[in-house]
Amino acid sequence: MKTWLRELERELKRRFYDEEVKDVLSYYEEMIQERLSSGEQLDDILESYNIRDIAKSITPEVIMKRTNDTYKKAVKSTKQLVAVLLSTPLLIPLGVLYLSLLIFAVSMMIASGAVILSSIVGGIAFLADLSQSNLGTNEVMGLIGMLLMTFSLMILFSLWMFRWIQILTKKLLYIFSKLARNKGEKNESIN
Amino acid sequence: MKQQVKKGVLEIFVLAMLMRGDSYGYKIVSDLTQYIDMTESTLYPILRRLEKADELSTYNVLFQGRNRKYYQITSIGKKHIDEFLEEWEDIRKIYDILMK
Repeated sequence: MKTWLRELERELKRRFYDEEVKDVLSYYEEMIQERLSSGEQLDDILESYNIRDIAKSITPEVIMKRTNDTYKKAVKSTKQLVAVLLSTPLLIPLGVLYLSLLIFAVSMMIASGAVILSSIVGGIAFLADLSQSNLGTNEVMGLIGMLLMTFSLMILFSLWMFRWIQILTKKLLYIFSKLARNKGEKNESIN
Repeated sequence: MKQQVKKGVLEIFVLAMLMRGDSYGYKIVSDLTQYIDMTESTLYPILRRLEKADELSTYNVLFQGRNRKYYQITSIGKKHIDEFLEEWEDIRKIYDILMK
């Protein structure tokens, strides 16, 4: 039993944080002990469990419970969810949809970064052009003012878009974890 | 007869089982498998979800030198069952009206 629990621990540690691992381990340890007490053979009990399936089946639930408040945590959860969705035949369509939406979100993030970069390059080019023009001081100051206003608006818009995409990605993670969990549960049936 | 179970019904079954009295993981699975196909792996997330929603509370009891985790339904859990049954009743009424 110890060996099996160590194997389960190893598999869970690849996906979950220590606290999450501890909780699952204590649950299965108790289950095995109870089944042994009720007269079942250890080999039969362990044979009825599939470590990878256990880890897979609880992944959506664990991801939903996480706060995913840091970039690192969100990336880890996203990777795990994609892996579960794409490795479970029933969930593959969901995985493809999730992946498509993620690609869209990442593209939008790149686009907002490109907007900032192009604003900087465009601003520098405009200033260089302005320095060689024959305009008076008042006109130059006015144009620089307009340039700075446009630049600020572009930056604000890009940051706003970046923030909303972050929120959207987090929401998608939660929604798809929930969908994956529900789809798993719907497989249970009444006798 | 086999029938697909909708989301949330399993939670109600677990809560209903606990209305009979406090119980532990293995017993909940054993009792429920008389009526539905359910495994320990299915029960785990349900218990955690209900616990997180404060519909269940837990306590440990020392049994044969080890801890046995007991689950107890809370007033929020009981309310969840009542609301579910009311909704079910409404569905039934609407169905009856439609079938007239």
